[in-house]
Amino acid sequence: MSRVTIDELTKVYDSPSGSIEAVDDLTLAIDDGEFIVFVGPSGCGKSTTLRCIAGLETVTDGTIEFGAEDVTDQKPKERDIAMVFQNYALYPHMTARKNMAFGLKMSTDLSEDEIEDRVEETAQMMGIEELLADKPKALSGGQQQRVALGRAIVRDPAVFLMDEPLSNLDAKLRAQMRTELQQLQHDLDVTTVYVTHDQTEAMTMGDRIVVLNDGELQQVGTPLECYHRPANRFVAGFLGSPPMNFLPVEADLDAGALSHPRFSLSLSDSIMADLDGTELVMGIRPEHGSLTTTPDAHPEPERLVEATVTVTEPMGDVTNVYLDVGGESVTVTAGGHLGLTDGESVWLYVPEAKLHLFDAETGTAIKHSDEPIESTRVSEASRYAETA
Amino acid sequence: MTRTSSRVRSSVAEIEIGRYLPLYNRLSDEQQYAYKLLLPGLLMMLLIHFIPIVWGVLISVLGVDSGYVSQWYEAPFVWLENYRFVLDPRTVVGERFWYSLRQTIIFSVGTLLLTYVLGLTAALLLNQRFKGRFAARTLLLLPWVAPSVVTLLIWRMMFQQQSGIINSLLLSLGVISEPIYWLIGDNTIWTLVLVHSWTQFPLVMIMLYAGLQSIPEQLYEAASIDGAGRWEQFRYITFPQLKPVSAVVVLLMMLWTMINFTSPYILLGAQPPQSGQVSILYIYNFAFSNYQFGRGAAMSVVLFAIAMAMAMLYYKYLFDQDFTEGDR
Repeated sequence: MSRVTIDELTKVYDSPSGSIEAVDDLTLAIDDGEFIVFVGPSGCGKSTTLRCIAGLETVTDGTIEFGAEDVTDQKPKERDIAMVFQNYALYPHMTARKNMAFGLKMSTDLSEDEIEDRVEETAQMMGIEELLADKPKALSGGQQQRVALGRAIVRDPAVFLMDEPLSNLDAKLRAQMRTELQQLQHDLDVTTVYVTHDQTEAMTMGDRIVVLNDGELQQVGTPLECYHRPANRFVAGFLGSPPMNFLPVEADLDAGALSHPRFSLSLSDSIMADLDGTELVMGIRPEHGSLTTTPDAHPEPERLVEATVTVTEPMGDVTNVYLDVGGESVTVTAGGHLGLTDGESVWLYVPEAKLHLFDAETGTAIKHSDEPIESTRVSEASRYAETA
Repeated sequence: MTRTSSRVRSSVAEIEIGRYLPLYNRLSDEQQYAYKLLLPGLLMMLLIHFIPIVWGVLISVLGVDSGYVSQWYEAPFVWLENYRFVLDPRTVVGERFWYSLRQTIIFSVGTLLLTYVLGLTAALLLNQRFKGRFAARTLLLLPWVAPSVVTLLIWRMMFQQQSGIINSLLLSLGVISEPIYWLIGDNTIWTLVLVHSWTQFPLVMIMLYAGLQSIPEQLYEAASIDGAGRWEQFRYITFPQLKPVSAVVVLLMMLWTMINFTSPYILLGAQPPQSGQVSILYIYNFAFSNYQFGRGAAMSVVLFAIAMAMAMLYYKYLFDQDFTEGDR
């Protein structure tokens, strides 16, 4: 167990066509026992950062510390880490047992019997005792994944590093392993750095998530913080599926409204007072919009935006409605089945409190939705109160 | 392009083998087509391998000697008399033949070990990233690409006892105090191993290099995180992963060296010292200088049988059991 401190980490690759800055001045502190998830699109630098922590890449600038120890220039084997790779990287010529024992054999003074005991113990925990005599080729993807995890866990390292470990599994298995991994990490209480491009994994697994883009840190925070209080337009658009809708608007300070060629949305004075620029981007989460076909009956008709239905996607529990608002596409997730037909005119209502506003030029967030970001779990006490 | 290939395809398809081989009709169209494409190659094999082998076995049971050179088919049928004679260690010929078999084993095993060590070292070096890697690869391939007669003649000159550069070099460096006889006497077999290995190691290198390139980089990353150093990575990852390629290399080098004629013949000439008389050279000299074709053929068949037996044992034990070990 160990606290990981990354200070002004920079990694530059030299290529014939010039140098590429994969990670740019990243500073981050990962708490002891924390499950932190690096998320971002391909090429955002998340894997490179992980590989720098592992010692598989040399660092161009900056330092990495485990606890109080500077490991920046240490070799991987000196760092007391274990890593799970996307394609597992199991040793094909060794049995599952030997795969798991290899790290202990290389890095500890344990006797063969002690190693054997620890492998057995871990295998039991992972439910793979039956597979120990098999070589990776004889195992299914899910089983290989378990062996790869077992190989990391048996080492009892200070830090776990996981590079998209669930990407090669099918959807059902991935969901199952997701919860299992969280449970394992919780039980083992080992600092874990987890890299993924999948925002569902990021949202569900991490204690905190680190959003990266183009090698630069965008935001660090709890999943809900990043979701509801995105630091900028990139984070807002990256987290959430379907993604947040963005519409370019201008702040009309005199009218106290946001104006768009097709609509004008009046806002409270308190919000308008905080706006300094006039070029803005308005953001709406699909689940925060609602639709009506009877604008006159709506309590706030001045806040309705007229739109045309282009496509509806009934998912069963919810329906994704794709709208055309003055040539721009807007998605709304509405509950149940709406019975809307393509081409129908509807009115979109956006509650002011749920609206996000970003600076059009820099993308920096100006206003967030008011969704609570503290843990919304029903406390034990209130649950008892309800049943009583 | 497509038109030409379809025309070729249909004209191949029109060959009617089924008329002569009824069983052939039971094969699927695709298999029939495959056999037709194999046909020219198979005919070639028949002509240059199979017929001479059968012919050699036939002659080995006939008393073909100087009296029957032009009418070998009139030679008397002698059953296994030729084999009895060449394998009898009490005769001079038999004794020398057994000795030549021993030298052949030294030649093949020695060459195998040396080419493997040299080839693996070179392959590992080439697999590193450094400037001039491509030039190095071309340079290392030269001994194998250059015509072997030329290479061997140069080695022969260099190994001359009086005028050769190797002796004068070793003398001037003080490694030896007197010129060594490299090409006569008991050392000859080792000189032969050395020179033949020189001509053959680039092939081993290229095969192992191809094997090295197919080992996934992530295995080394996983191993380095698991705490394996350079030597351990070689011992536990590289070497086991090279097993399938190594298996092929070992088999080929053993068999090819056993029946190699060029290296001993060019290096040692028509009058080789006894130590350099590997079986193939001994058989050639014995059969063609004494016109003892029947007995020569018997020796050839013995050599052939030994090579086949070794190949089969090798397949049976190594390929069956361990081949999947390094399988990816």
